[in-house]
Amino acid sequence: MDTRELVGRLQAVVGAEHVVYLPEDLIVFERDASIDAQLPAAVVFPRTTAEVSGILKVAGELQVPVVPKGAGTGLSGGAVPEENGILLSVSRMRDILEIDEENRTALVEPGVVNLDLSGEVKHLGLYYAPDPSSQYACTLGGNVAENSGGAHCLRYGCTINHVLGLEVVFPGGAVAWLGGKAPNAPGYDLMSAIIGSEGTMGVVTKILVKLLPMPEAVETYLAIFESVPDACEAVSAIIGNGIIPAALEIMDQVVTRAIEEAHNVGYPYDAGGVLIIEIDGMQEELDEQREAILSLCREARAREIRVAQTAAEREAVWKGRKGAIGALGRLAPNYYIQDCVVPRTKLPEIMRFVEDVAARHDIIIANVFHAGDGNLHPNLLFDVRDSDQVRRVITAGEEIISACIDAGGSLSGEHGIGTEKQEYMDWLYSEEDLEAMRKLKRAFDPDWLFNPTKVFPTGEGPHAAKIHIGKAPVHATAAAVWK
Amino acid sequence: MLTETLHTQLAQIVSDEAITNETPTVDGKRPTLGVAPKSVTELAAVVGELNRAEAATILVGGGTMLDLGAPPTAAEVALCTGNLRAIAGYQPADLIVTAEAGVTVASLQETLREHGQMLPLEVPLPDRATIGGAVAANACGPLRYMFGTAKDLVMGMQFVQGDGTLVKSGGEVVKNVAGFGLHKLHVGALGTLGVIATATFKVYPLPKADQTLVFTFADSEAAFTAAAAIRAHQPAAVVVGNAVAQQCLFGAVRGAHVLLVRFMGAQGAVKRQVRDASDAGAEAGANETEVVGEPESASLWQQCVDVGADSSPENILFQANAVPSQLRHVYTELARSAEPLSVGVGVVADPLSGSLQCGILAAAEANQVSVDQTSPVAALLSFLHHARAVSQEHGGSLVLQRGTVALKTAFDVWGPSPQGLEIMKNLKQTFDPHHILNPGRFVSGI
Repeated sequence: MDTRELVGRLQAVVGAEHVVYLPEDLIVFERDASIDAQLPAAVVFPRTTAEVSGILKVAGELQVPVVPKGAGTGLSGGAVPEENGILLSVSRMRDILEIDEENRTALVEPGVVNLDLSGEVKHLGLYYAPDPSSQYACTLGGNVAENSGGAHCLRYGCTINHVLGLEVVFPGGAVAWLGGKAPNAPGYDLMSAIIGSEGTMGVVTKILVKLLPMPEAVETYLAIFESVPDACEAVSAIIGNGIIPAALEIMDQVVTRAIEEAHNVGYPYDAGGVLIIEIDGMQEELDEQREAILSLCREARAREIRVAQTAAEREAVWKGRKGAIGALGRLAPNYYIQDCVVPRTKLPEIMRFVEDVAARHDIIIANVFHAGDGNLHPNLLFDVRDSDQVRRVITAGEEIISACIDAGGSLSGEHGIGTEKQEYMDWLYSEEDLEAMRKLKRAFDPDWLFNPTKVFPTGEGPHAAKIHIGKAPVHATAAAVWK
Repeated sequence: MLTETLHTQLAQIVSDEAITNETPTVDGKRPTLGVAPKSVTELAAVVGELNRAEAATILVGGGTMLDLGAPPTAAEVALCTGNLRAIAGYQPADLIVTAEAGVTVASLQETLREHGQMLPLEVPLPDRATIGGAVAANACGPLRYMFGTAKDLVMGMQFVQGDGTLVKSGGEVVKNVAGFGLHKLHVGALGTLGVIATATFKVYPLPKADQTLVFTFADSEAAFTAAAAIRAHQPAAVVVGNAVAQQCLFGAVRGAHVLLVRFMGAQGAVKRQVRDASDAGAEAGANETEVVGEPESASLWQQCVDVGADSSPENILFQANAVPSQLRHVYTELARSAEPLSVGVGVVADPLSGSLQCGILAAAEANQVSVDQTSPVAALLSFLHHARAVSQEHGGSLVLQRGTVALKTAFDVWGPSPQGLEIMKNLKQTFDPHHILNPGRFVSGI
């Protein structure tokens, strides 16, 4: 492909100032928040749906791969550019187009930041429920691509449960509206197929989301346990008793200590496991749940249960939790965050297994996770310069993935597959299952141009994952030059 | 002859009693052969065989929603999932259940109830309706306002593609983004992309309290205004019904319009909700207010979902959708424009979700759709066209869920082609290359 021709055609669509293509300018676009990196041929910044359509038309005609990108906070490599490809950034498409109070919906462009939407509708007593930890930075377009979750999806569901409609530009440039404020649109539910498809089926240019009324009452507890498995037992007991709190989040000692050092929010230093419990809804509902939850925690050997007394105390609890991953940077230069899900009843058993894996491979694993959903986030800490440690981290990671799948679980709860987990897809799915997914993609993207090297196994086998981690330092060095 | 050869082939896969000549008639076409595999493996093998024979196949669960869809272009075989009746996996503490497609909704609910749980998916005629059929038809009721629809509840699925390949999508966990959401695509696809073999659902604890308020209003505007005001008290479900609908629901007409509001949750919370909502209803001009407690509350709502479900094709049923805040206009306009029909027109509207069901009773004349503008049939057609236009004007759509073949021929069941049709056709072509599954029944001839 001739880069000059590509750049010229893209400039004709969006204007010369909205195309970046010089190698030194491209370096900042080589990454998302995963471990992979790749330089694109060009980065393009459309402002309108028509421009996105024009870009996809060019991509189709020149057969150039396309990667859509929001804020680049994704952890699985979904927004890492493709070699010789177009990186389509939605960062200029960031208007909130409509707030419909009567129908409790918002129509937004894909570059709108998750938390900004809630901020914008707060005065109406409304909010947007899915709350990934990166919500202060991540975009709603990225959330749609990854079907993002968050701490409160336990009660409120993930992105897919909150999207009512999408304007999508399909590969080739055709524009369609899917779904809408009115329910039951006839036809296949293409919208639900696109949500979570990791940018492999087109580019979302408008998003219609549901807004929820803010609950009248919220209570947040910090239950402190000697161990993570004890905390897991409390989680199983609460859910087993028919209580679905707004959030059930566990952190182990490695994490709470790192958070304390980074944010000083008042977490204990010496506890084996800390469980954040948040209940919300009507006051009477909370009154009925409170005693049951506290006694179930005590039965699971909680040594202390703190109740956040003020909004500021509650915010401190969440500030710590949402800043957890960042705080891990204090402990090691690199971390490998996993995202497996297990049936919730398997949590205590799996967490004991994770402890065992860490001990056997002599690595530190920091656990901070959405326990109520059974969604683990073991963070395997390492220094990428230590090749033996890298090898042990990969082996340990694979053992955890394998155990979670054996326990009836899944590879990813909310981070997506991308490049990071693609080689493990055939651990979970048969070749027939994967082929059906490829067929789905081809129905949208017959030329296989959208995020073409991701999600599916490359055929290099599971240990190809090593390559992803192994090549990180090269790009890290390149990026360092520009610091 | 196709059927004889096919019969022989199928007999190699399933036992003799799984093959029958007794098949249901679908839009005037009766398949000559029926087959009801007893395992998922058999199901896959049977579909593979039907694909080889390129046999037009009608999918049958409990047979309660066979009227949904355009008349099939052909119907040679009826493939029934009724023998797939295992609840394949249920760990109550995980709030997840996996059932084979032929499990009836009622029997699944019974199993869940034993463990204090429920699947908040309302399906007409649950004693016969199967979970596979319910998901394929995207059945739902007013509880969708609180719990969503099948799309929100189905976490995983096994399905058989048109070529007989058994495929898994999603999983048995409550949160999962590994791979694409193929299982979501099968919700509401009427089996045209594959045969659902098993489905995994997220389930919920039974509420501690379940109460319903029944208000009567002289004026539909007031009923909808009350519904909008009551939304602030977080109802689980709300419907507005006209006089004909009340006849089906209560066997009597309570007022020009009834407003039913359901609250589910903690005892104390529901108590306050009922009190506050009663006040809101009275303020909006309700003539009467009744509180319905358990167990009548739940059965009343099942009746709402069942209204018009068990009937003959002469009794027309359609679903009209609109932007929720505008559904009141569709409701009012239906009542007004139905007057010249001089037949009973029942409407049950879900104002918070934006969907309504409309049944036209005793419209037997519709059998002979005539072009004569003066006949009642032309009046009926013009009523339907008007209803569709009004729904579209308010941002929605209209789907004819039941009607005679003549009516379905004269009035497009699904309405105008949806956006993204080309991709929908690609999907059909790739997942069912010989177009054997419910051929012609879905949108735009898919």
